Amino acid sequence: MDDVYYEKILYRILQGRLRLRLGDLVLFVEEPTADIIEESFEIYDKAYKEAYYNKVPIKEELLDILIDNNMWSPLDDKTAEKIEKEIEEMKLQAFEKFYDTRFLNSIKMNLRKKEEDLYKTKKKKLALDHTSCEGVASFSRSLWVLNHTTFYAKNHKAYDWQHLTVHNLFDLYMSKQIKYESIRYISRKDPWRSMWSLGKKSCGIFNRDLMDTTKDQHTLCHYSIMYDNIYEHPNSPNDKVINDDDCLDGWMIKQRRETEKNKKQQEVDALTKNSKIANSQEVFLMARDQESANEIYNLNNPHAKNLVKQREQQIKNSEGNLNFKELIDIKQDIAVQSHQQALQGAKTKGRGRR
Amino acid sequence: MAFNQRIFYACQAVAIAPRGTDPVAATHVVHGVQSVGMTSTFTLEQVFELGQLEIYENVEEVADIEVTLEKVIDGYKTIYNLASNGEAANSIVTAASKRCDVYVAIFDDTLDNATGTPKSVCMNSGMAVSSVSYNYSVDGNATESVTLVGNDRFWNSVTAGVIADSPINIWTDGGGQADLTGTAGINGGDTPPSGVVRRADVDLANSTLPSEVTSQMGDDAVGLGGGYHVQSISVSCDFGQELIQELGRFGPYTRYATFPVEVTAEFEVIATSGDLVSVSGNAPNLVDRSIIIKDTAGTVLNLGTKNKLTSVSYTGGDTGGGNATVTYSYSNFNSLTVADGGQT
Repeated sequence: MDDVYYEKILYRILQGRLRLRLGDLVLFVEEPTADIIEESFEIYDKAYKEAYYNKVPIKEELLDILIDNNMWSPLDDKTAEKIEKEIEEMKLQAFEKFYDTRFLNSIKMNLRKKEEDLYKTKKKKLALDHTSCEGVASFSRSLWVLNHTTFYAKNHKAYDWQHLTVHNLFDLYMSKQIKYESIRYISRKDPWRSMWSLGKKSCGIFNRDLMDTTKDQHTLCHYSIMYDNIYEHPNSPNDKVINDDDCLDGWMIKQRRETEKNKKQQEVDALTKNSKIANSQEVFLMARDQESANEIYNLNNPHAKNLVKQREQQIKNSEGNLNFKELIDIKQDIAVQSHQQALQGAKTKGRGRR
Repeated sequence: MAFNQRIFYACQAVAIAPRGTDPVAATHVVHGVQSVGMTSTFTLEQVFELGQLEIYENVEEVADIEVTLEKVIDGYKTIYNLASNGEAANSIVTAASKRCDVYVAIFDDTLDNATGTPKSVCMNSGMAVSSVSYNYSVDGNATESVTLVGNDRFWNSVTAGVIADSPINIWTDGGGQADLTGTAGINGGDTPPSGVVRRADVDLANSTLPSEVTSQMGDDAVGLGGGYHVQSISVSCDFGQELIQELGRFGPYTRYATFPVEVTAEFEVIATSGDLVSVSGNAPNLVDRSIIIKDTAGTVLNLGTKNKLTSVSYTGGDTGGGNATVTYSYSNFNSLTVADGGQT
């Protein structure tokens, strides 16, 4: 995409409307005002009731239908969670290896594949949404809003639907939705960046009240604030990372994890004031109930959590033969200690020979 | 904020029983435990041989196990009392020679309190008291901290040919389980018999304190503080506990406290008129002081009659606005008995 493309989108966002040219016909599809949005919920409620009395299923009921027809299962939710975690890890890798272009390209390819998988997995659950009361009501509302926000460009009179139906226009409108990636790109580039900097210091950017700003304008502001914060961060990444969405996501994931780790560490340090206990390998904190037990287990970092699970499993599987020294992690510790001591011994001997 | 690799467990209950007790009973449960820390240290010794780069043998020595427990002082038996099989109140020598088994039951996620069979039980066998400390402060609860050392640890169903029965069986056998989970045990309704000891419960008026400590006295004695303006008291003792090995045996033959052991006591007092300690180079300055510290939970820390002032430090009172405090440190050797509220 070239700069003109993004500039075109920027001005669409600034104007808060979509300009549609269909031959000689030029239409404006404007973003709904607060009045229209407020009224549109009446349409939603009315359509919902009608659908409900006509025995259209509600969204919750669709889950059974999806399961019965092998269209979705609760396992898909778990798969989606797993893919999301994989995506997070890959983004982190992308940040950590941003200088290795070949590796980065390969990660990006895998990322796009995973994102597609995630989309497909999540889509399964939504496959019949349009047939639910909520889906029908939501669609009716969208059409009503479109009906009240479409105008002739030449005289700004309400469109009379002589040339195309509201359904046709709805499809066209949906196909021209602005992608988040595009808004994100715009938010860190000129000319928007200059507008943003100046607008913050003057009277605003969109020349309208906050209540009347559009969804895309909100998104653009959110991204702009995010980039402001990144530029002002004491460990701000370099421009190559900032300009690459995947790498920057990875940087943010890393920052988030470090913050969580520090926060957890502070919580833990506050809990165990006795320095002997605080510096022990295993710390046992009294739990009153299941909730507090879970909170205590959550104090563990991922590595310690795995150790707890691993130990539990090993203790469970052993029938009277497990000595504490046989715990896998303890054996590993002993092996590492042995290796380090051997290494140290060899170095000392080497120095002695010289 | 040092970060070390720690594993946190949700603890269901802690019990300390005389060595070899089977099953564990409600009388062995430690009440008011705040946290427990366990550490194991392995010692390896490399043997090399001439002409070979590879190690000849990596010899493993006896592993050291250390368990530190901290509880609030609450009228229940103290950890030191349980670990020394009641000898804490009689003699430091006998108390240091006693061995106990320390059980830590790990919380089962499906339970609301320490009832039922625990998911895992960790048993530290043959533990000896290595150090004890007691802290009273104007902020927070009065606490007891005890460190025990040993060489054996077992999980759940392990006996390893060393102990007669497995930890999980000892915990759950016979009446043990019923006692631990019944009215006598930690059943969700457990409350401290005397209430948790806080500043107002430290009975300094009936304690025996060195005259230096009471010298900052004002004329506004209210409650049990005696008007001494004491901010904190800490008493501690490190027993050492060294191993004795013998030929033909991997484990230690015994452990012994490295007598004489030093017992220290520190009193931090708000300074109302300097530290009031005169020092002369022409004659001895110190006399033996008796120290007995009491609280309303029934705890009596008796440090005997031969405590000598080892240091005085005067701090604070600077331009930052902090109060001036005097810290008096005393020490004796081999004299510490601890009586408690005695409830089990």
